[in-house]
Amino acid sequence: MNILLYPIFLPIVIGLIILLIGSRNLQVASFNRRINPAATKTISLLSLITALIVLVLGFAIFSAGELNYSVPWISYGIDFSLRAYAFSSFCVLFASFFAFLICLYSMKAERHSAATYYSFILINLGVVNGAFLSNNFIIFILFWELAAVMLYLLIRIGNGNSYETATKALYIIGFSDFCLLLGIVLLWNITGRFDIIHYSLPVTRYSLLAFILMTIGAMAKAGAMPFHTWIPDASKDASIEVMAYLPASLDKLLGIYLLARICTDFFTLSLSHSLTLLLCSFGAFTIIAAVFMALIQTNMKKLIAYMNISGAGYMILGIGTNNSIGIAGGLFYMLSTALWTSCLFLCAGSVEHKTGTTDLDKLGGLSKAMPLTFVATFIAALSISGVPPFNGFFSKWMIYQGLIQQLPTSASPQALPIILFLVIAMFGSALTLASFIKVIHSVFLGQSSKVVAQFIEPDKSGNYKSKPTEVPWTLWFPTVILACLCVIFGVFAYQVPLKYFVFPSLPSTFIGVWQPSLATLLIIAGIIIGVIIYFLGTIKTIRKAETYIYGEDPEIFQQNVRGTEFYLTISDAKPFSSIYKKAEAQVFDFYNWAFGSAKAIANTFFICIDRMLENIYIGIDHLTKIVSTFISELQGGLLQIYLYWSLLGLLILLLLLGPKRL
Amino acid sequence: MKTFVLLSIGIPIIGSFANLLIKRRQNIISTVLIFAGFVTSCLLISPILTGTTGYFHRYFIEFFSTAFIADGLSVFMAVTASFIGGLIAIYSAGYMKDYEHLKEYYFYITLFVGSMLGLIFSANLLLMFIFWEITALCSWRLIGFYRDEKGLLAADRAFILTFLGSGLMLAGFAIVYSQYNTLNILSLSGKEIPTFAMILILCGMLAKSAQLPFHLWLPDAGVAPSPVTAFLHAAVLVKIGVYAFARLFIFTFPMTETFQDIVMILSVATILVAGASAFVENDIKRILAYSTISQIGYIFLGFATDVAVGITGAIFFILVHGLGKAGLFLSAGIVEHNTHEKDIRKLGGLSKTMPITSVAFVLCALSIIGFPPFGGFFSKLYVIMSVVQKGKILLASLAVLGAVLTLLYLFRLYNAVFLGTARGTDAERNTELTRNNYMEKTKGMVVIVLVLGLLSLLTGLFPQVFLSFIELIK
Repeated sequence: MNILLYPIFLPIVIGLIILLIGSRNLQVASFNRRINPAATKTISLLSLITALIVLVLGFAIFSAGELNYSVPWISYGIDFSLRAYAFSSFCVLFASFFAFLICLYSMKAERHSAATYYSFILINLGVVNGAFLSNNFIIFILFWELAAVMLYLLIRIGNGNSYETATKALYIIGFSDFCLLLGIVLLWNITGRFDIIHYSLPVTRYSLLAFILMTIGAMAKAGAMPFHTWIPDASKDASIEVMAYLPASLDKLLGIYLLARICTDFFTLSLSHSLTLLLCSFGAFTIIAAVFMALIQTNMKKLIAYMNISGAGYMILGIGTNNSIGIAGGLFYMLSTALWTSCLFLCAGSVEHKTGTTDLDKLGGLSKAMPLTFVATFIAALSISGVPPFNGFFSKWMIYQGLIQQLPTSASPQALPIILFLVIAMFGSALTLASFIKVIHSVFLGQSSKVVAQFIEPDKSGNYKSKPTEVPWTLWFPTVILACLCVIFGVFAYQVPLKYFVFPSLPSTFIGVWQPSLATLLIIAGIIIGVIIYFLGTIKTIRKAETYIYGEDPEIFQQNVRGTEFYLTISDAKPFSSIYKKAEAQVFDFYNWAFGSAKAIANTFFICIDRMLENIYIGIDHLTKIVSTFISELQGGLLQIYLYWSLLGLLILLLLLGPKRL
Repeated sequence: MKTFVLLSIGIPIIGSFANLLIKRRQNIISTVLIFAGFVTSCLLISPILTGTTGYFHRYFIEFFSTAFIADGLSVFMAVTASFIGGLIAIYSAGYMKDYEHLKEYYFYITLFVGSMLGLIFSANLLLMFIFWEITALCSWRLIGFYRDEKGLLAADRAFILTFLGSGLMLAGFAIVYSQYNTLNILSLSGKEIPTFAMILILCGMLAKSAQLPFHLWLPDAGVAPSPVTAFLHAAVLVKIGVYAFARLFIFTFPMTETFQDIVMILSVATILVAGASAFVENDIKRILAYSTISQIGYIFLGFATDVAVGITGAIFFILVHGLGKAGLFLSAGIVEHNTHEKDIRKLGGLSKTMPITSVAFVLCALSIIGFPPFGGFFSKLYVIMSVVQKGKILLASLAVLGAVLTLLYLFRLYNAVFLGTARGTDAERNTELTRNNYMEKTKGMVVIVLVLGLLSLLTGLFPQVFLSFIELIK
């Protein structure tokens, strides 16, 4: 057995074993929901150990350099071939790392379906590793679509309505996967082989279609607009570990991995300027739209979900620049986003574990009780906003630098879109910072709200409802690790992540030199604008407060500087308010549009073709009946009528035969 | 080989008549007979693997001979049809036990499998036509099994529409005979026939496989008992058309370019129209029937390209679709049998009370949609590859769209039936009677459904086993 097979099949096999053992009592369990603590503990330990082994294997593969494995499988060039090189093996390493953290994080949680949960987590790990390592397009799409099925199953383990969101995710991802499949088949038709190698096809008319279809697949997996709409829904319905595991880290890695390979290995974009612009505009639109939505969210989970989407926008923007620094920045950003978004999701999970809610309105003052979670959230929030010296700063800097390199030397109209992208990216980070100040303020700082108070402050008799301490170590430890990585990847950006992970992954080499330039200025401007927005928001809210008159409930004054009210000034402003209202009502949900039009078209087809044929059939049926009734009435048994018919027949015979005789 | 071929046809046909004379245990005898057909067909596999093809004939009159051929294609079809047919026969034991006229039921399904095997092995166009019409008679009686007004009408419609097709097909055969003075497939091999004759023959196949514009009878046939519909959709009836297409147009007559284009466009239209109809309908069995129509379109599409990869994909899809669709119909049968409800708007939340059925349904659905690691993935992939190879990008895109449509309507069906909350008030739901009704009662039925689901998975996990056999066929 080759070492490359283990990170794929070990978790899948262990996952299936857990599933089989767990589903033995399927029928009983669904009626009588009981949790068996000992069994749950065994299962979670087993999964944790498996994930750890895969992590070690991932590290071994990563340090081994390039590895190849290939056995012929089925005909038409579909071989089971795997290849580990810098890019794929660092993705495997991080995927296993996230799986390990999620297993650790989930250990303390009580769940009804522990067996299915852990088995799906493990199977998904194997499947994702398979997609990274595969060196054949069919093997790749096989694992890739399996990951979509696992996503569906993992979201379904949530609350009662999670199946609706799961189906929505499956529809969107399934659609994009079929697009990707068609793109791969088109690529096969051009190149004649399924191996994933360095093709560098020029984008002509024919391969343009393949490029677009494959990019759709990659963007939907990464959660970019307009394929993002299931993520905010899932943040409500799916469990938070699943959110941190799939949309935040593993799916992001997968999608950007594919996008980077499309742009660097399979196609050459350098000549087609408009295509890179198109890609960049998708990225920029994703950034700004998602951030604006995040700004007004009142639920921590949903807010992070929108931040997660906007992260995908930065990566696409970086890769769309199509120069080496921009792509490197995109990959670095992919790594960084996976770190901070999963950290934020897990922190939100800890808050939920402690207080039972992630609603920003109901939280406050948690920093006393949960100092570690607070610090982790704080670091992750600063990273995502691009504050130096965390990883967000460096990855954003590289993306900006990539964009600036695209600027033409002389002033020309071509520079306009790029300047626009720069401004959007800058505003994106400003608004990100502003949103996270709101989160930090309303969850951890300020006065403790009623909900929080009952957990962290003693009641009248001096007893605590629960201990006013940090959550169990299995919960805070993963978040702290992730936050530490955010710091390390920022402070030692060049020495660790770029040197070991990002640069070896790219075909062209590039030596980064730290230079304070326009990019740095833009980032600093972003931070300053973010702080200004924050202050503008708070000042206005404070101003709105009325003067205290005796007799009023003092409660309203304790509560009046709620974080969620910070940006009401923005969301109430004239052009925004109507857009926000429509966005919240899911008017801009492209999924609804697509689904609605699919329904309408299906109806049209059904009525215009299927029912029409049905009516024709019924019509012929009636016609036959009428004709046969008529004919049968002709044969009513009357002698005269038969006589007439005979005469008529004779006449015809005469007419036909007569002239010949004569 | 000759004995095995004759046995596999003869045992079910003669056995079905013998079964009429026996008073008791027809279900077991009928199952044994069908599996005897399966076993004897399986015994033909090993000679095929060594590369021998069995052929023998006996002349009666000039144009009619009992000629039989046992090559890779016919053995593959025979094994598939008799295996799925046998599984459905086991399932029927649980489903049908409360109904009258059981003797008739088992007689017809055994005769059906027998004549299906006869059709598959026959190497004479007229012989093929005779078996073809026997299957039409069987399906006519089976669809009208309940003897109610609606059922009889549906049965008549099925018979009339398929007969319309087969009448046209007979005319096509007549043209072939007038040109070459033989109806033997082997002597006709490689002979060119006019496109017009091809289209006439195609009409028969389209009608039998319920393709546009002859598809109307199949959704209506859903009034029959569930095992019968599963039987028609998965094992026997609709597969006859595709088999005949492969036998005549891939292995015998070379297709003309125009004819290929017509079939490809027609099958893509079928995929989309039937898929759209399945998305609109609200009756479980009508949705599944439209789904069959739509999926059979992929098989025709793969064959019509006449490219190696497409033929492989299409043949593989016959097996995969048989397993998956049988599983879906039998799951629907369990739901219908226990809840007496076919409208998906009135169902819901059954995954709690029928967990195994629900799992089997998902497995089969994923296979039909074309998700890995199920067999449907490889077969659809191959079909799409072949269409792209032909250079028909637009048709390939539409075929992919059809797969997305499959995803939409099958999960719509699954969500409506198995997920969500059960309809009705809480009090209604909690009565002993309803709760009992919503349980999976008969073990045998549930096991068969699960077996079909797992086999769908198996075809995808080890596709090389099946695909390498299919490669031998060509």
